[in-house]
Amino acid sequence: MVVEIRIDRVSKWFGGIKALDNVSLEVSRGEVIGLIGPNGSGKTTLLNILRCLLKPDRGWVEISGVRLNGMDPERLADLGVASIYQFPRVIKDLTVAENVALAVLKRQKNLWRAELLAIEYLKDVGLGGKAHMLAAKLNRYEVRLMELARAMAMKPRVLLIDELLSGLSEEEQREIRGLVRSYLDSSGATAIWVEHAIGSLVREVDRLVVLNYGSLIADGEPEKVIRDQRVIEAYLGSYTIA
Amino acid sequence: MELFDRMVSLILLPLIYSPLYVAVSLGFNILFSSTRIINIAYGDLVMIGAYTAYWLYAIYKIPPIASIPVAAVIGIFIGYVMYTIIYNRILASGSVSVIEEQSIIATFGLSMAIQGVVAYLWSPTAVSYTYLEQGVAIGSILVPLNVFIIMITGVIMAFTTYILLYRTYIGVAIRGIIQAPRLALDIGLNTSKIYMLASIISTVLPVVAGAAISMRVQINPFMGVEYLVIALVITALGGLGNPVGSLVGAILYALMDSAIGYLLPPGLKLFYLYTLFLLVLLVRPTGIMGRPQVVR
Repeated sequence: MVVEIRIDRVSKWFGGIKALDNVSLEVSRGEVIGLIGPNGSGKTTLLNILRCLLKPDRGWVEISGVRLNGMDPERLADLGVASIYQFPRVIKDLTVAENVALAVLKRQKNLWRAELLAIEYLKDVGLGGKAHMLAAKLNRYEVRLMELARAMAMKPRVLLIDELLSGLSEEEQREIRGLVRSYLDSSGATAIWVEHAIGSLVREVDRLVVLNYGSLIADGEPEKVIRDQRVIEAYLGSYTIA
Repeated sequence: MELFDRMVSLILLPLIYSPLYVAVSLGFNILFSSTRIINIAYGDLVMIGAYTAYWLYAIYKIPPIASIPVAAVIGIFIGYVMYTIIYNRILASGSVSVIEEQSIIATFGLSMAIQGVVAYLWSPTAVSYTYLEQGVAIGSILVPLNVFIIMITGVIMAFTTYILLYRTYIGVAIRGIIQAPRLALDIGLNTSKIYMLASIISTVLPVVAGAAISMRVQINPFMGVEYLVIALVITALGGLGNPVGSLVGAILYALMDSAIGYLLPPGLKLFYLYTLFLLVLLVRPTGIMGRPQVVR
């Protein structure tokens, strides 16, 4: 089993607050990891370390055998890492197809062909009919679909997803979860998928990992993890504080 | 017929000039909005273009139409040099406020230096030349032929720039970077290449515009400031980061400029322009077609 993502004893402080405390995690090639935890548990911090937006204070991270600490985030795309962010990143004045085409342009410099390719990816997520609309006209769900198509267009080896489901209706969530899962199955990409809700990823991921106050408190089969007493307490605890 | 003549001089003539203004403001707008670099030496590039056409005509009798490609080559060279020597160092900071501050300081110095060197080499006295001065009658107003060359140059430049921005990969990438700089990084666009191209566009346009306008204006080492102000006002009017805004802004600017000239005493043109600029910033800081600023 080849290890695609290796997180080794990573700690990160923000001022006096410990955002991550000695977190270690290994993800095999092709594995899909769900990363959940209450608000402020360090999920996004961990993702941002993998995205080279933050540097760990202790420990190190590795993707495909390349040490990331302090690497220029510009090189991540070359490593085959694609990201979907918690807050949508849309270029509103470009069409939907152009938004996706930008991700193809690295391998297809001809804009017209890049757009045709982009439209294929948009069809895969069911947005083919809106390819030539301005991205500003899309609703939140369609924006998420477009971002998924854009990530797919990068042909990533590693996909990092941050709260793709938040703000969507039950049905939209079901739809987009299915799309992501079938994409990951067919492409064989490795993924770390962050969501907030405890039950949201049980069927979509191979392994569920739980963070609480910056520490890894559970790691294993999804069905077991969500019944773990410590996990339930972490979530209940966060509700009483809120 | 008097009304018709007045319409020609107040509306048609400014509209003939507006394509060139579009081109001049596009260069400034594209560089500023994609990189946050404010080029204070922008107007001096117009001056360099004007001197290029002037000297080629004065020494070698090369007509300004033929010196426009020369000006374009000079513009490309300047854009490349400015990027490799100044801009990429400033951009390395990655912080909007640092880029804005440092670019103003660096290009302000550059502007002073260029003006000083040109004044030393070619004397501070204004020069001019005549080429295609014979007029075409529109109503009873004689419009010099060279004005049409200026118009055609402006149209070609603006049109080419729009095609580049809207129909080529690098243009779509530039527009993408303008709105979502971080996203461009994420999807692995080669940002330094795109910034260099933005830098080159932003020097070719004013240098060529300078070569074209040199047929109509007094050429001197300090003429640039007017064009910097024009670029600033049009960009503020039309909206930062919106290339179509430059088109709207330029037409509005040309009409207002002509109205100011007609209604108010001359000699204070820059004063009026700056007042207009400040008013726009007060009333509608994002410009007519601008969006609220993108956060890096």
